[in-house]
Amino acid sequence: MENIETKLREEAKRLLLEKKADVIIGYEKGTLPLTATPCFITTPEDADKLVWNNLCTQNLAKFVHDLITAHKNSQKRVKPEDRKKKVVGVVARGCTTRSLVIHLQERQYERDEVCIIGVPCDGYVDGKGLKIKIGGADIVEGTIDGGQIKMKTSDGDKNVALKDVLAECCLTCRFNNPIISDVMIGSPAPAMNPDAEYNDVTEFEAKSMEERWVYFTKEMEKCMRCNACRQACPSCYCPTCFVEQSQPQWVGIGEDKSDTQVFQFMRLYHMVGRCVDCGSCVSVCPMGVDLRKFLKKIDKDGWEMFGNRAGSSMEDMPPLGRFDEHHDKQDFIYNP
Amino acid sequence: MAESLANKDWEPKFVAIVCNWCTYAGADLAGISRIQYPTNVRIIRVPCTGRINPFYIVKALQTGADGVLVSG
Repeated sequence: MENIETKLREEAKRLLLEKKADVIIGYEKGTLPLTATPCFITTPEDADKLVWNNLCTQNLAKFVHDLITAHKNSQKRVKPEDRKKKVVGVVARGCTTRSLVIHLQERQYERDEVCIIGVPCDGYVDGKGLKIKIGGADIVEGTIDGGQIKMKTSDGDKNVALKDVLAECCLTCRFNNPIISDVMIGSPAPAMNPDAEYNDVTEFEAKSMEERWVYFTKEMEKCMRCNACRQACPSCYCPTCFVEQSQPQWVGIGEDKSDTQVFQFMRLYHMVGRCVDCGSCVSVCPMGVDLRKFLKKIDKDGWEMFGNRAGSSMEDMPPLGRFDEHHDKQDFIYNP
Repeated sequence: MAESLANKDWEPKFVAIVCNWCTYAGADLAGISRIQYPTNVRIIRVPCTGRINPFYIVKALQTGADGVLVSG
């Protein structure tokens, strides 16, 4: 990891010096112990702030979209021939590159507007899981060393194995190495356990309709509609989200239970063929709503019905974004 | 819903979102032919079923419809 970090800093410095990127989005050390937070590097000197470890959680593709959109908006009143192009560099692991692929397939920006620094990933720590593991104690200091997390907490010294506190989505990750990259740092990470990917979903599917409904309502009752999941999601980039739309108002702003259900339900709808299972929404949720179970179900359907895994390659277009009779498994149109 | 189903007198309310050019025309023809249709169906005519936003369906269910028929 240390080695990757040094290489990453060198590479970031080089890209900024050679003007190959105007800004680099990466992670820096967080203000709290055992955290990393997204940061924006614009000068070569700042590149030393970059870190890469198991604490880097958020999917940075979100910020790529934000920056490029903001830049494009600022150029709107400039004459087309005078418009400047900005290149956004991004430190990207598997799921981040999948989100970038989705953005590119959805024509959000051009490939040359983004410079992808690929890094191998062996999963990130689920902060909430870690907190539960150590019995809710406050972490004062902590280091990750050789698969062990060593912590000084308000409750004495504690040791936790890294593999016990990895986020759910990382444990069964299929794409932990970048799909596309301009510069690749380090050698590819070993595979996780993708065969167990749909175990939870299969178990959930086997339940009766009533049980599933009870589970859905129970989870949605936790939701307080802070919209953190939407803010963190790289696939949620609509300029005006349906939640804020007032004419017509799709979702009421009160604390009505059914409004919360409608919000989550429609957000799930919008994730069909677009969710890369990066776990950003789950990690930012303050109420611990089990969003992943429903998202994973959608992912499973996408794979079983359309043979598509969101953002898994540039050529494989999203299931709802293509029409191609050769991919249609049913032949009722041609051979009724 | 489960309690409602147990009640024999209960009738579900449906929202039918139908296309102007086919299903609505069909319903119109049925009307001209004086065929009665159940009163627990509320028809919403749209210019084309392609105009239907998934929100329409969710919103109908949220606001108390027991079923939504999309036809066109």
